[in-house]
Amino acid sequence: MTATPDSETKRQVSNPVSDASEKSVSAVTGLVRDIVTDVFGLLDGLRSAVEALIRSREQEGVALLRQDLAVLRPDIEAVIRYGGRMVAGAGFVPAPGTLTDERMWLEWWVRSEEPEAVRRLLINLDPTSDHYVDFTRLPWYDTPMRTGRPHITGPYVDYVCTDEYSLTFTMPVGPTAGAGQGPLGVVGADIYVSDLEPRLLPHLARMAAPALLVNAQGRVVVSTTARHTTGSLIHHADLKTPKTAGSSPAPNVSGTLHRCGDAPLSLVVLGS
Amino acid sequence: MRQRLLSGGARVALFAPLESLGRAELVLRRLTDVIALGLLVDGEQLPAESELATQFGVSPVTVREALTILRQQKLVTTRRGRGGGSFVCAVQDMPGAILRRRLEALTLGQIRDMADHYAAIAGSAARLAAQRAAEENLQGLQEAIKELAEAPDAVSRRRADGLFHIEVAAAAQSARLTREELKLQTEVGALLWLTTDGADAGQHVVEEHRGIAAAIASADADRARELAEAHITKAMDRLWQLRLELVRPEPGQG
Repeated sequence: MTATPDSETKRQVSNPVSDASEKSVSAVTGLVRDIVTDVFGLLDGLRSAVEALIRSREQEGVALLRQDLAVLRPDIEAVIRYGGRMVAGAGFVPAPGTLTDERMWLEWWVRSEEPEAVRRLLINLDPTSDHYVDFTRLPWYDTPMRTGRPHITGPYVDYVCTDEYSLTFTMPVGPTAGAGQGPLGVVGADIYVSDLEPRLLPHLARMAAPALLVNAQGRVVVSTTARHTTGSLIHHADLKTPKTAGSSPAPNVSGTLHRCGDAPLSLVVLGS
Repeated sequence: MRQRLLSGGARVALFAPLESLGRAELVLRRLTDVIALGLLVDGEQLPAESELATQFGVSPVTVREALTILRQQKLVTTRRGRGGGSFVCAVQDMPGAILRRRLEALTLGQIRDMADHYAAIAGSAARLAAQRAAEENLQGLQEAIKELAEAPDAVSRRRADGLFHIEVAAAAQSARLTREELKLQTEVGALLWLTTDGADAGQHVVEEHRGIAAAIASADADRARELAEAHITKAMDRLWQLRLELVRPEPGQG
């Protein structure tokens, strides 16, 4: 599965606008669904590699050390290479205690300016370092650790690692069933909203009505209306409205909501 | 028609030096800040010189130069041989002395300018946060407030205070405002705490943070902005006053 839908969405000049809009709707929802499926598919590969590594160390009866994580590089790079400069970074974040020699560690690599090159994300000297904020309380780590399920965080300002407006895909690693302990960490990937937008906007712009891609809370990822720009919240009758103190806000948009497969992202095409 | 030209003052601002400090000095300042802010803890090992050079995007010589000064200031110690390297030595009252020196280097006019800048950033961030914050963001704010209320020492107080403001900017969903807030934190965040020593240190700050968080939670954008601006202005006024006192003779002596 690839995320290059251009061939299937080529617009026929003679088509009525509504027809083109309909095609654009399925192009966007299909593309988002594919991206989410692909990224979690690649993360699943990384997860297997982490689990195999942990198992082999257990069988040998030796401690798992930070340097052992070097063998994960090919799987991490496979995630980062996905979609041609779409993924900003990826890696494995062990739960505190999983590594013997480091309590807190991010085995995280980010793409660099040169094509095909990656560099390690070093955050220990940044004011946003892990000394500054305990990452275990952040949603991209905490949610999959707690629920045992894959999770997409954001869009949010990732002030701990990259300072970018991002979506972070994470899934828990291990333990083998019935071990009575929590997961051993999470594997994950970052996609910047600014890298996602150029892939979606052409399809959104082709629609007759303003359209927005939003997350499950109604947070706008990409939009073609200045009334609801990236990062703002929409309240739509079909979305779980985020609760602010006191009242649940009344819907502020009306339009058709299209789900993107099982992904926690939806396309809203405005109109009554 | 002739285009309107910028006034003299505005032109000066346009062509202000891009980076007034040397590279070694920038590295030095960053490391000093990080240690003074308590982001690197006592005894923590710094990355190797070559790694620091790559990370900062400077030459190893520049890093070595900065480390030499840090050693002279007794902010790091270097051990040779196996398991050696540079280690942070954070002495409890040491950051105060450094910060005082930093404050002395600022003019009252610069502090006023900084106050305006900071109030603009914090006010806008709070206004947007009130419009855009979701449950997750509100939780982040509450956690930062709790951390400040329970902070056991000066270093954790500074850290928790900074965290609150960064959480507000993150709740605004703005990467740029968040980066500005981080920069301001490094520049003045620690200085502000020079004015808040003492037993009940930080209690009024906690109260003000609670007020801002409540305005954000009730989606009251105007009030959130007003409270955030007042919060910063008050803190910067105290800093301005402290700076003024540095040149004033002791009371009763003049």
